[in-house]
Amino acid sequence: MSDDRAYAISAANLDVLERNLDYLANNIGEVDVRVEDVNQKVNKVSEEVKTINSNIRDLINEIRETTILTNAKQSISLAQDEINKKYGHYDNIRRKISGLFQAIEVGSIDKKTIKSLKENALVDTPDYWLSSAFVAICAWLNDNKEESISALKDAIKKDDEKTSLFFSLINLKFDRYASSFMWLKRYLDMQDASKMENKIVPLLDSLTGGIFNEEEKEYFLNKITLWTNELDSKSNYKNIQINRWIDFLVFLLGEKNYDEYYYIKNFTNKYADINRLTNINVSQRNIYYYFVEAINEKEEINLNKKDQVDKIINLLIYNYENDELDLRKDIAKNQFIIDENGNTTKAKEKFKMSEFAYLKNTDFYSILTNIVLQNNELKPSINTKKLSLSLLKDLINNSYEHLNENVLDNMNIMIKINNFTGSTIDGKNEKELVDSLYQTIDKETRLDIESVKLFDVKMIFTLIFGFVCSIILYLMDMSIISVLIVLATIVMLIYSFYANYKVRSEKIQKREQRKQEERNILLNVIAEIVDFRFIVKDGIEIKNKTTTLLKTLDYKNYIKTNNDRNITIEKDNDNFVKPNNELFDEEEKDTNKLNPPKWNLEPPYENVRTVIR
Amino acid sequence: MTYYEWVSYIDELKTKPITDDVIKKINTYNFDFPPEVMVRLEDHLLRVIFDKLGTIRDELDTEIDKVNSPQELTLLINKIKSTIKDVFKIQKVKSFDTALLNELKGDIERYVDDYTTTIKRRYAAVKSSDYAMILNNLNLMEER
Repeated sequence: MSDDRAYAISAANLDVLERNLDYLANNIGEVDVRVEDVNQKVNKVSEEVKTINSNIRDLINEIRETTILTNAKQSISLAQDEINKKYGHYDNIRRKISGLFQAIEVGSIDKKTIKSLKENALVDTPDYWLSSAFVAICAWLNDNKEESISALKDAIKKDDEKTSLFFSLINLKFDRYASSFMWLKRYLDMQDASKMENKIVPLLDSLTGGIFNEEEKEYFLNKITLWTNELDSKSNYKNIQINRWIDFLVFLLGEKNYDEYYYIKNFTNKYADINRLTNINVSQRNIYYYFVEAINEKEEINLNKKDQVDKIINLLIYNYENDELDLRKDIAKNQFIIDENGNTTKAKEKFKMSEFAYLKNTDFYSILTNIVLQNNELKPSINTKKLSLSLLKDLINNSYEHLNENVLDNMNIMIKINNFTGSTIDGKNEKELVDSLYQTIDKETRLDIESVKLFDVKMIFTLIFGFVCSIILYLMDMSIISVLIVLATIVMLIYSFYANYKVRSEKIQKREQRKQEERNILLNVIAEIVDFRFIVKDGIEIKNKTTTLLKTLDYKNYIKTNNDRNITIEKDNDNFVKPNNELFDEEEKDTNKLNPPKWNLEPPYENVRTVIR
Repeated sequence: MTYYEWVSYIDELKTKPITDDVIKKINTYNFDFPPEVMVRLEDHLLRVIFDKLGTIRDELDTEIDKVNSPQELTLLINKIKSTIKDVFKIQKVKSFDTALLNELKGDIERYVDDYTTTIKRRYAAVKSSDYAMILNNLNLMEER
């Protein structure tokens, strides 16, 4: 009975316990589900926070970029307003000049119109050199020599360089070569090789474009030689350009990390040097092909002489006003920010490439380097770029030498694989190194292998013990046991011998395996060293090819010869060159029609020094 | 031969024709280099091939404008064909793996297409019979 009760109680208790456990288990399960749920929610919240964070960051960036863009647009607008306010009248006179030339070309202008144009010009822009130049041209076209000379003097007083260059081109436009040369000479004589304005660029374009005659060309080329000689004698100017070219050549090499020398890195002492030299030499082709492409580049448009002169006149009057330069620089900077969607870093990089257009004074070498390297707004012709490259060839080669001077020809490379050390210069001594490696391993493992004797002390004792026992047993007339002992001893000896042999063989095998592994490492190290030397050798060959290519450049090859002239010299006026323009001849009879006079627009001063500026 | 000697030997092939003897020498040699080193050696062979193709391409670029007659053009084309044949001999080298070879074939095809296009462009204006002969002589695709 008591047993039954005990059983009933215990059964009941167990049932309760079981139910409670089930309940607990369910609760735990529920808690688990809730925890899981909370976990998922936490994860979700975490993801959402991340997304919000990223959205906020994007928003901040967007706001920042939008603010930068808005500021850039505002700055452009302000700068443009200021240009219009301060120099808007410049544009007025520029347009008048362009319009006048176009009207002359189509024959749709008469003396009266020219007279009225002239009258307004000085009133509108009294301080602008181009106004005086415009008056001089108008007076010339109206055959008023006195007024023309007076206006020329005024223009020279305001800006001698621009006036001289401008009238050199105007005379070219009207085929008056003798006068053009006088103005050109005047302009070139004013130039200082260490302090030049970048308006020399369109003049170089004129030179390479072949719009000058032989006399002008020779004079210009002599001047270029004088300028380069002068700068060559002052090392600081050269050094600045050498450093600029080194920077550019390094940029061409690119930020490569060759890093394919796993074995050199881990088993030699020269990884840093080898990697640096490899990175320099592996990209030498970039430099070579840069120059090949620059030399092979073809002029997209071949303008005739007239169009070239017009283009250069336009460039001169629209692009080279120092007064406006700062504001125009501001506009260009902000335009790059807009183009790059507010990315100021990229905008700065791009601006740097066109900064040259906004420099006021710099040296001649600097101008040549800028012509080649900068994607500037002045857009020099392809031939001008090639001419500049030719004039800079020694300087570039000099920079190239500096860049490669760290090549170590006889760098001894130490190889260390575990306890083996060896050295090589170029991997030629592969066999000696492998032999030396084997010897090192042999030497290192010999004692260990030899320590395993095939017939050791234990075996001698076994032999003696077996021999003594078998004799004793034999003498005791227990010959069968004696024979068994002998057999057991032999078996034991054979076993021990085999065990020793096995251990020794394993050691030998391990040694051979190690030899093979370390040989593979060594051969890989050697292969990498040979390849490194190969890359350096190849790099040097390419470098020599580049140097030779640059040396062969001759600036004379990029100067076109002007063969399209038909010059007639009037005998009654030594300086007069009759315009090769039928328009003038046809309209000569009409006194009110435009008729450029026989006298020329020449410099009113013989010597540039006579002008007080 | 050491790795250095093999690299020097292969490098010399840039300016020498790849003859049957060269192929035989490479194929009969019992290379004992680890696999990574073999890959490096193959890279040198590939470099030689591309160098040869590059040289013939440069030569074509400079020579094509100097050609004045179909006969001269045939001579030039034969020269190109001979170099391409020379380059294709490299296929006989057993140590090449298929992927590299296929890559090489693709590149050579592109080179040959370039040559063909250049020649066609240059001689588009040549009278039809000469042009037919040029194309006949070219035959590069069939050769492949």
